[in-house]
Amino acid sequence: MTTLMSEPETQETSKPQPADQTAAESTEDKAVNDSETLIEVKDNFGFNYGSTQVLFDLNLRIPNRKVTALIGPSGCGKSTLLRCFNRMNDLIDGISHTGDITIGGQSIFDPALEIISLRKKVGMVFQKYNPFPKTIYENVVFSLRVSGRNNKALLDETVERSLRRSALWDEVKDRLHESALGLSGGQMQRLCIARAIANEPEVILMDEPCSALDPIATGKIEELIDELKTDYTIVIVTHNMQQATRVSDRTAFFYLGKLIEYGETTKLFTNPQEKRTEDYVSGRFG
Amino acid sequence: MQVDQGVDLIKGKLLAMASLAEDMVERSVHALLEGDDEVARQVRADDDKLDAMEQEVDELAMEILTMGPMATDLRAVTIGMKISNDLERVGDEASTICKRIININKHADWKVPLREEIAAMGEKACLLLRESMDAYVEHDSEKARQLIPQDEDVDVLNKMYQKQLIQSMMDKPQDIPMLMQVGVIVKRIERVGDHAINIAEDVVFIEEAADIRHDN
Amino acid sequence: MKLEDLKQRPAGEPMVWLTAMGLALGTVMVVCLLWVIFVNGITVFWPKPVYQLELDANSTHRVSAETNVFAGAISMDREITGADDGTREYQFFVGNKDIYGFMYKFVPQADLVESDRTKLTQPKDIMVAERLEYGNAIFYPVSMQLGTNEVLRAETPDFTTKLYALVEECNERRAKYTALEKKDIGRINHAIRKIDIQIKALTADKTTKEVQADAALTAQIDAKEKEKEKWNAEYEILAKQAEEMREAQEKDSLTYRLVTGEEKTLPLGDFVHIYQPNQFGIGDKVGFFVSQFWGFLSENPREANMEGGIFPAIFGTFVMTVLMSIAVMPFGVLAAIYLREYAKDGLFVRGVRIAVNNLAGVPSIVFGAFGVGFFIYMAGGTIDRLFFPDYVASKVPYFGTGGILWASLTLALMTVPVVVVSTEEALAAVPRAVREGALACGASKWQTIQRVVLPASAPGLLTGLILAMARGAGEVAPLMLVGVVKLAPELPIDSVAPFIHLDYKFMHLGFHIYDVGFQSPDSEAAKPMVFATTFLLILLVVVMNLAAILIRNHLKKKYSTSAF
Repeated sequence: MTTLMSEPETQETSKPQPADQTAAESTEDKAVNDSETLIEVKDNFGFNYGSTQVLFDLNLRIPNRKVTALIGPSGCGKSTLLRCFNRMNDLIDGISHTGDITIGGQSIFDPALEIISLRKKVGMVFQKYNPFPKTIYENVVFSLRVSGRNNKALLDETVERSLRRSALWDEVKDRLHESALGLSGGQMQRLCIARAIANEPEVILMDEPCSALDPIATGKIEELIDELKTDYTIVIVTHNMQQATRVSDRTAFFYLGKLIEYGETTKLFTNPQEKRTEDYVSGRFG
Repeated sequence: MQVDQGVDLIKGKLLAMASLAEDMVERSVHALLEGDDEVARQVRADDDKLDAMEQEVDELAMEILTMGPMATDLRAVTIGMKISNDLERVGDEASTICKRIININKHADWKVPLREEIAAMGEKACLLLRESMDAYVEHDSEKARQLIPQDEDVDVLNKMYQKQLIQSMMDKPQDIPMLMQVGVIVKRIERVGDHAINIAEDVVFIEEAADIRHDN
Repeated sequence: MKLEDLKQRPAGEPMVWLTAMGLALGTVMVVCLLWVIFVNGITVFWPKPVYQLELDANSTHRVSAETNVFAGAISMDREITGADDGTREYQFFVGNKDIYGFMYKFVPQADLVESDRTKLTQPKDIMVAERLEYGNAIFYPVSMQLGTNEVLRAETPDFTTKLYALVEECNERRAKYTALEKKDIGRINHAIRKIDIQIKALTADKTTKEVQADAALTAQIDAKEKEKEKWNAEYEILAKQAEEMREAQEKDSLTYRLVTGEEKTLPLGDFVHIYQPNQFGIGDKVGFFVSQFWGFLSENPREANMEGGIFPAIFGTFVMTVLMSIAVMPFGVLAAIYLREYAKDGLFVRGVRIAVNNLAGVPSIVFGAFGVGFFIYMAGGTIDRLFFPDYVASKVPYFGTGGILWASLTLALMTVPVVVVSTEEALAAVPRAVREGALACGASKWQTIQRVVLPASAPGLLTGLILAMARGAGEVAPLMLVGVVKLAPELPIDSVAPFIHLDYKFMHLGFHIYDVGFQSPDSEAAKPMVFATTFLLILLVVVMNLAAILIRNHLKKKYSTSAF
């Protein structure tokens, strides 16, 4: 049983299925079952900016403690979906949605839910690193301070833990109280990751986190993602196909606001089922 | 160069290789039937060309791999390397066959037993090769699948002829050296058939991502 | 690539020169302005040599009718207005206004026996004296009368030293009794005034008969009168002390003779400073300059603001600017935060923004009128009615009249648009990415503003403050209506409880310049004062701006994300 979504009008045909169904291991894809799911996009989730619909009929299960990549050409809605998970889209006027998104079984659109609490459980790292114009120390402990936790011992411990986890501790431990803006680009992005994990979230959302970085810094971040997934569920939007194959366990391909294909990463990239997926990953459009 | 162009280039090169390999096998059959040394020597010389072409295909494949091909392109490139290897081996088989023919022709008055039968077997193997390359060009995995059982026929012929040759060896022990050459020729033709079937299996993998090797 | 193809000159090169010229012109104008003010202001404090001069026998420009010699320092050297043959005249400072009736005299250089200033006589022993009244005097000392019987002639060896010492003594004594009168007696006067007002309130609108009939009222009034007596007794003691000290000032006196022959005797208490300018070495001159300048800054004015220092005006300007800043910053910043961060864009918000911007173009005198009507009459009147009924009853306004509080608030209102605009710009310059980062960490909107946006825009906020201070410190017109006076008896912050007196009227440098320059009886005498005060006002504004700029630079290094 697969959780694929194919388009309503299939002009392109899917790949030819083998006549012999028993030799089907290379085309069958393991679905995400209930116990593994952390984030579920359900009930044909749709999303609108004002009167324009931008996400259509999405049903998707993102597994716990794995890396899931969202890929697709510009304007396909992957960033929009990502920003739904921590309700950053609420900053825009006139948005509306149908369907639901749950994290750990809890709907994130529940009116009794405080958005600022949600955002402490679902952290975000942005495309262009955006550290605050404060010291490194203050950057990391920001989310604790806004929660009202100012105990120095707690903050010190959090700073060390988060910076170690982000592979930044050794480089900055002697200058915690210097401005964060004096770091290099790659260091600043790792600082943003440290800031996102300081409050021990369950999910880390990453919106093209390496697009502003050089290959060495990108490599460091990708290594970091690999280590972080033991403790956090990571959803990453990326334009870079190679990166998706390097870091993710599952990949979802979006096109024009619809989910075209979703499955294990290796399968999706070596043997995609949908022609559109095939064309996209082969670089024929987007 | 883009990935698309590279994949097309590989296809072209493989077709050229196949054409040459098929031709080498056909000429070997002809050399056997006509006892033509000259043709046999020509075939042996052409094997070098085939080796060079295999190297070209491999280099091209490496270049395309650095570009990070995905999906069908990825399969076409990696399997293309395997196909070129099979085709090169076909050339080796043809070369060996011709070497044996030359040896046999040294004894001008010795008649090769089962000459027509062996030639027919060679034609059959050649046909398999041609058809599997057709399936490759036409991206026709059905055609490729249907070819696979046909390898049986060539195998059966091989076993049959080897038996007959052994019988002849027991009847005329003085012909054993010559008969052994003939045995080698038969075996090599059977191997050409195997290579053709390998190519057919490769085509199925490229088109369906189904690995049907070792299925039987 | 050939050199011939690479020789096309860029377009618009003359524009570089044009823009550079514009800048140069502006810089030159500013430098010239500052230089003129500086030179004219500073020369007031630099000791000038005093010459003894002789006029031609038939000159009509005698200083004193009896003789054609006189003494004076050169204060101006210019072409005679209206003369087209290039004849020049000197303006001499001759002092001794009490005898001559004037302090300055224009003399055509042709009328002088010796008109080359490098060849003029500088008598060594001539003295210049700063006095409490009638300005400076230029004279030769004759004798000192010490007490009732001792007379010391000027020829005696330590005469000058003794004279200086005694004058110094008088200065100290004067400081003492002034302090006594200001502080201690001032305190008593305050208390008495308050009681008077209370009594007046009790008896207001009542006839004497009614008062006598009411026993309780009478008792109250009696109690108050008793209190008043206690204060009065204390007053008597202190007043006696002050009186004694004042009398001591009259004990000794100096007799002197002017170069033109007149003689005069003055008690030593009337002198502030005596010196012999022609004996100054360069060290003395610098020392004199510094002490004069310092006196200018720290002393109170004398002689209808033409002499003495301008300390109250400096203090008043400073306090008013600080109060204005305290009022305008929170108000302007909060308004800007609401406009930029919270208000939904629409007709109303755009209207508000237009209104705020237009406020910047309103003439400042209009703000003065608004200040009178709203702050003084309405707000002040209401406060008096609610909290100070005694004052209302006795018809003495407390807050219902001009004062430093209303002046600061009026100017705050005037400079609010500047602060709102620069704060809005600074807030807008904080990149969206940083705000999103804060929200993604679970901060609420206000926490984002308070912890991230405001610190990052602090340099811009300070720019607004600098602009506001610059505008506020320089405005004079509105102040004339809302609390500035020519001469203020007290400072708005002093040692009398409650220490900060927001209701006091105050002096202001800008107004001082206007008053001294245009309203004083002797405009020639006032001219140096005008320039000196102008110089000081510019200095004060520059110092305040520099402080703000330094703070802003410090904050930029700490917090900046943008180039504001």
